[in-house]
Amino acid sequence: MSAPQPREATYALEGRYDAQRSAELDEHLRALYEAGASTIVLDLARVTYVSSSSLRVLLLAHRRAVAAGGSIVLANTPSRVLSLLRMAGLDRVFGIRST
Amino acid sequence: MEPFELCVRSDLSELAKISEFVAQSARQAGASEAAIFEIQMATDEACTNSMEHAYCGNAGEVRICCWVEQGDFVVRVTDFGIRFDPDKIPMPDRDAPLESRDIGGLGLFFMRQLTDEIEFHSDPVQGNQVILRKHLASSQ
Repeated sequence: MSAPQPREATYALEGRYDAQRSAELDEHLRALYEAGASTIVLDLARVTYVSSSSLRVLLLAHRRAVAAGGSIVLANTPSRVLSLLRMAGLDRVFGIRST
Repeated sequence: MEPFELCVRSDLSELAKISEFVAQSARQAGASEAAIFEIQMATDEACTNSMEHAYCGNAGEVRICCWVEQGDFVVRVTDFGIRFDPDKIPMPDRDAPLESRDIGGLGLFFMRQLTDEIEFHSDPVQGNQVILRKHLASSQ
């Protein structure tokens, strides 16, 4: 018997993710995880801003995903957000996809 | 440029308004779009700290004042909540593996990284102040 394949879900974020919206992001990511998605691809193409609160939510989600054999993957990351990830060394934590 | 001032209640729903206020003020001061983004984020993190940690979610007022001084665009964030001691916040370890990475301290890390100078003051009358400076010349 082969090991079960990690289930992948895609979720598109849009707009500004400051501390007010980080709780909403956390709820969405937890719901996807509880629905069985171990790998979650976040499409950031339409994201204008990500605060440290939301990055913490992503880190916690990534820890959960890794424990379940998956990961958090960031797709279409805007250059300013990518710069922040690099600044904090988080580009080496999350999977980064260009498309 | 005359100083611009905005007073908001301590509520995370005010963060978008603060961000727009800082962007408009920095644009008027001649900051580049990249510098505007950086000072917006540093201010957002400072205001979030005031609302979440100084006031701990209780009612309060956060004041944001912007001006230009000696070639710097300056933002001062003031609250009258619990004093913030930046020295007690560990800086995140960029090279630590995910499992052992301390998940806190990112906000202060970005405030330091995205500005040219940062100062913290605390006074019973003047309140807790975070002063963020961005050199306008280097932002062009």
